[in-house]
Amino acid sequence: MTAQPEADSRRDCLYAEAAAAFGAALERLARAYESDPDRRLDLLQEIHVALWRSFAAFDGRCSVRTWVYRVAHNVATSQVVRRRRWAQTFVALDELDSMADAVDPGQLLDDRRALDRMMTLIHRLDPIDRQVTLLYLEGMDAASISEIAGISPGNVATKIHRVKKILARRFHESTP
Amino acid sequence: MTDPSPNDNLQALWQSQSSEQPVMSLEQIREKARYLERRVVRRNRREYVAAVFVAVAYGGILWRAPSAAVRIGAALILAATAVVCYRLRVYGSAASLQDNVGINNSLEFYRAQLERQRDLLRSVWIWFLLPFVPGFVVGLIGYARAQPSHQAATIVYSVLAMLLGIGLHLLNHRAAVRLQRVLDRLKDNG
Repeated sequence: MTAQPEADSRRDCLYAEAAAAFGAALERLARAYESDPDRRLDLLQEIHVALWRSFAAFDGRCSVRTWVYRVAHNVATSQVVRRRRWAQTFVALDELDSMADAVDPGQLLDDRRALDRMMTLIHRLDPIDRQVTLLYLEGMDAASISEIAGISPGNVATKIHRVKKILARRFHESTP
Repeated sequence: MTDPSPNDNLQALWQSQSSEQPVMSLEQIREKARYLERRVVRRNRREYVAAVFVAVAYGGILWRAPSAAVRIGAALILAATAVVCYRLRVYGSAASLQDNVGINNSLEFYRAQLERQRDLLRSVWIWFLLPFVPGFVVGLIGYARAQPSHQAATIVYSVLAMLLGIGLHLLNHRAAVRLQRVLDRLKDNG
């Protein structure tokens, strides 16, 4: 008789801990998927609801961190896929790497403008490359990214190499 | 000690972004969950209202049309509407990908989403357009026979409807091909 309230309570606890630990990262993630402020707030709330619901199925086979990032990226990707014409507008990291810079990389930028420029780059990426880039920016290693994204560690390493190259080329002399 | 690399600086900059949104309480989360569920219910209700509208319109034709062929056409349209409603209900209640939102890694989840959307686009003509064709054809033949003076207009109407159907199919087919290209590129990530 008490199984359901206990399960609900466990879910609430798991969610509360995850929201406290990863709330700021989830907000950054929502910014990287949605530039419109209203849609961004909607996305963030949808991520939190999905996370809260998902903990009913959390069985500890992966870490809470892996679970949280999977849920968040999957919800955000769903939002991207629901949009019409999205497949024509995104590029992969290798395509982005080969594109000419639209801005002068030597131009000095303050933090705000550097973040804006970074966000513009991220918004152009297809969902999987965007995820790798975001997880790299969150400071995760290749093994953790591989576990969350489902990409082989070798491929993650290649993608991170490209991310670093793109960032270095566009921000090397411009970050404060 | 070496200075941090420029990319370390960018990681630090990225992580230093300030939080703008207040933390949602559990009650707010539950309320938002209920709102999202209500949104799905409202969407389903809109589809059923549209079906009722079709049923009333073609029910009237079925009841009043002097020609047997037109009545048969209307009956077939009603049957097609029922089939489409059933398919929408089955599709809508199929095990949602959202149930696996934390279990599937991102590549699996993304691929499943794309495949689902591609298959839907590929099959729209089968389960959404095709069921209406028999009723449409029989109804038009009945109308043309009952109103010989309107035959030219009937032919023009038929051709336009056919072109609309073909156009819709081609648009969906093109979108499905585009999704397949994205799916093919995903294979390189395995």
